[in-house]
Amino acid sequence: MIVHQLDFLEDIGSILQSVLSTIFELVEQNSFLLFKVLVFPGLLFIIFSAITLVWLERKIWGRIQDRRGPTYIGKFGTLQLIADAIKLLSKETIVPSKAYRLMYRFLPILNFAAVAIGIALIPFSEEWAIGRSNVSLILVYALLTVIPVVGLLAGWASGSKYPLVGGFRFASQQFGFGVPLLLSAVAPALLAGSIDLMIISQRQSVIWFIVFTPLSFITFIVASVAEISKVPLDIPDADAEIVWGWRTEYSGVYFLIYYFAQYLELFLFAGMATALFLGGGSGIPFLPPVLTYLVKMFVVSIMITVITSSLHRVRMDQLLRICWRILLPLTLLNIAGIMLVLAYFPQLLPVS
Amino acid sequence: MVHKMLKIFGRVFSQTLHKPFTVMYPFEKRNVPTNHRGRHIFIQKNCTACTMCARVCPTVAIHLNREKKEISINYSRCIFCSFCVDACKFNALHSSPDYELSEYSLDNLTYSPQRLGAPRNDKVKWRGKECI
Repeated sequence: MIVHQLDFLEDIGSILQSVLSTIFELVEQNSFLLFKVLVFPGLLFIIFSAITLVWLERKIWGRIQDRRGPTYIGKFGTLQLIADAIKLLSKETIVPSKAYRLMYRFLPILNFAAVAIGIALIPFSEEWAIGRSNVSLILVYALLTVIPVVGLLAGWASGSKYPLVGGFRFASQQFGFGVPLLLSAVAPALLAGSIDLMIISQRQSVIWFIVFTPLSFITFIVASVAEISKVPLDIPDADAEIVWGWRTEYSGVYFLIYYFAQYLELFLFAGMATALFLGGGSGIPFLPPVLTYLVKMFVVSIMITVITSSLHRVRMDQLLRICWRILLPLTLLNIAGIMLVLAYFPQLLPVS
Repeated sequence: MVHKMLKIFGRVFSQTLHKPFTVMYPFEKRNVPTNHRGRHIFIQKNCTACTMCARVCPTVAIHLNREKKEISINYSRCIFCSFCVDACKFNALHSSPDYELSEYSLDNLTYSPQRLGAPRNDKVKWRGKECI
């Protein structure tokens, strides 16, 4: 009897040993990938950059509005967001009684995951990009279509009227501005001849695409400000009218996840703007391509923050007018112009 | 449209160049006028215990000890109207512009005559730096 038990334990021991050894082998073989996914430019780095973006936004908003931002915690208020995060993490998570519990708890994670996987496709450089795909431009947009669905469902699953209204507004805004966002990215894809973000960013080593399609860059920035719902175009989050729109009922950790997901979307759009228009990776000769890319993303983020802090919010009908009657025709005209130039005057452009 | 945007961003740029309006309390404080009615200063040697201040106080915040000629003021009741200052003919009660009167317990809000006799001069330190 005791001998049989010892055999059983030996079998379990050997199974465990083999499983652990395969895990260690896998970790050893893919250690660089694991480093990229977890540390830089992966999870730790994007959380750090979200904190930096929020700090930057609060300081720049303050200075533009004739006041200082946070000053007391950390040297220039740098640790303020960490103090806020600790406070939010220590709060009780309240699920409203009329909410649909499972969906309510699951949606913040879905939002964060969709944006984080999109960040994995940003072409930082040949060796530092986490994921590579032949169709990465379309793949990022496919991931971004999760966001309006999440917003609508979160508005409905919260079980009260302010989030519901905010969810409807959010869905109509996101669907509306998704079209000019995608069409603005078509022009650089035509110029580069590929829909792989890495190839698009590498074809700009001679001249950046913003020189050829500045209109496309402007429409991309406007559409991305609408997609992350920041101030001129943040009707779904209208603080004074519907408390916080579709995210009203979320408190504590969920608030933190949604807040970070919003700034990670800003990170994602800055990364895409750099890849599509600003020649990601080339330009500054003494820095490695990753750092050049990050510097350019930083500049785009500052630009977007200055835009959001100086303009006031537009009404819903003005927002839809901007989207359908101004942005969409401009992007279509831009694409038509690029197509004409490529077809009849290919010698004007130094790209093949 | 473009002209308006340029005006907005020009204004934004010029606004970042001047000093912000923020007062870094408690290391800087805004100036209050000298007539500001804050807590009182009580000069005991002028007091004759005529009880005019206690009678005119609308909230019964002043308690007077007639034998010792001493006043104690309860600042949880005082509304800083300074009727008592106007009522005193002997120049024993004055107003000072001190407005930072918060305390940790309610008993500390009743000022004794010795505490009323002198302005506050304790230096408070916050995060290692001295406050004004």
